[in-house]
Amino acid sequence: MKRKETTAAGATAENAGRTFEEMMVRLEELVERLEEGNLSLEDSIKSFEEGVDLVRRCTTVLGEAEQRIQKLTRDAEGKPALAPLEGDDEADEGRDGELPF
Amino acid sequence: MTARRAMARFPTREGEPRVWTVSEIVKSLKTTLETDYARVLVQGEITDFKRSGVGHVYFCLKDANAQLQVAYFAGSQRGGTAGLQNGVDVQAEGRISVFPARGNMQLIADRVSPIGYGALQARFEQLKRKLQAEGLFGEERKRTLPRYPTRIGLVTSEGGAAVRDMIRILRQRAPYAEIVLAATRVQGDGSAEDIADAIELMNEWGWPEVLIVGRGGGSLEDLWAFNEEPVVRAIVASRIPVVSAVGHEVDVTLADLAADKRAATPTHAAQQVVLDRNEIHHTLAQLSKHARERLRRELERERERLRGVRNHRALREPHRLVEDALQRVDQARESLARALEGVAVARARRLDHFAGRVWAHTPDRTIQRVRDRVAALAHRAERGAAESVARRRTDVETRRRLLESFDYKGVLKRGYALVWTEKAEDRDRLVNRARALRSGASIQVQFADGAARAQVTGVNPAPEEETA
Repeated sequence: MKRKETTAAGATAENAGRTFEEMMVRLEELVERLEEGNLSLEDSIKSFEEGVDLVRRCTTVLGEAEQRIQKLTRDAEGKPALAPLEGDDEADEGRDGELPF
Repeated sequence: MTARRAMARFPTREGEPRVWTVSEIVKSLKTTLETDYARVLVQGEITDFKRSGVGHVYFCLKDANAQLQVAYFAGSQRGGTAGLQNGVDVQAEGRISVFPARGNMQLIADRVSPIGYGALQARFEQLKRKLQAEGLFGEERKRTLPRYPTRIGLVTSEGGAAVRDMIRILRQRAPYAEIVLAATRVQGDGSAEDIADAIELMNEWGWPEVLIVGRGGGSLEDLWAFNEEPVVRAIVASRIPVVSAVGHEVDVTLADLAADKRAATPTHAAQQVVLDRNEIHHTLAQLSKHARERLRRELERERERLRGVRNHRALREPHRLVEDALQRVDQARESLARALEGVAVARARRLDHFAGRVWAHTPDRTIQRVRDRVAALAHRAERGAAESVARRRTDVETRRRLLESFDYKGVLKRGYALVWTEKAEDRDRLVNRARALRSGASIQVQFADGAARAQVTGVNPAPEEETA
């Protein structure tokens, strides 16, 4: 039981770093594996738990309502640099400019 | 009528009109025309286009009020013939000539080039052939678009309608997605290079999962940048998949051919790139439903197996399994001893080549050693059997807990029922075998919302299943 919990937590941590696309693909893969039906009970439950975690994560992402719109330009050295998009009123609120580079 | 008008242009003696022969007048016209119009540039629309077997090209140039025949001979087609066809506006350069036998005038052209739309069309065809030959439009180059992107890059003009349309659609369908615009000019000199640079910039940054490259509708000239080589090459070179969205439905640009997917308009592109949030919610719901159903079936099957295991002799009386194992070990020990102590030395040799060889030299020690080994083996076998039983019990216990954590009442709600015997002395009371019942027995059938008493009127057991 303990072993199972740690591996499920491991999968959960792994999913935290995935893009939405990757999570959806992983979820489809898990369900497919479950449907094939040749997993052990243990693995079925593990897959299910990971699936539940993914559904929760995906739903959270879908729930994020404020769309961030930014502009990509070149800075003085010609490197990509982000700037707020002018005249985009709706996106002004809640923008924090911390896109991962 | 031509003769009458021409006459008026030539001075004649007063009152006495000059009479020309046909040859004279045509020759005179020919001389005049060929001298005065030795080099002309005429613009008009091609009509009545013909191409001869050897490559001569004949057509008429027309405008709203007049027509002029043009001959463009194979040996002197300096401008080539690309893009020449009916309806195309061209400029034809050459000399005016008269063909005396027919008395008709024509332009002997040595350069005909499309202008405006026609010129663009010709360049389009030329570049398209070239890039096609390089394989840049090949299906095998097309990358798959992500199905659920959350990071979308737009390459278009910042002030255009296209960017507003796309942002509006993306907001409706995928408000969770993040949008980044690499603003670029989309028409005018140098705009192709600008667009290519914006695509490159996105790739340098590398963050978007998909790019939409395009602009709203316009004339062919307006959309021209998307037919230029730098844009096509930038799209082909992009590591990020590209959806093109140029102009209207009918406009197909070279950028469209190079893109991984072509959308008819910017609005369509935005719709194609992201699924509607509700669709994804639906997909998620479907996926969890499938997973849940699958797991439930899995648990149901496991429960069946558990019932089988529970009824197994070894689980009811675990010590019996150990006894069995011990008995088998004892038997092995006895037969081994018999083999060693008996006269069948040769048999022992066959069984244990090494032992047999030692036996020949020091029989007593060998016997002792073999005995010790047998004893050790027996001990290990006993311990092994006991451990395997213990392990198996833990296993079963683990699974039982697991299964019980999924409340069986949930199963009852789905229409399953449990059958209990009325008799209290029956240890389990739960009936999981038809054989456990006899005709006339009183039973209770438990449903999710209560129980019913019933009497068994007959038992039809299936043939005995094999128990593991």
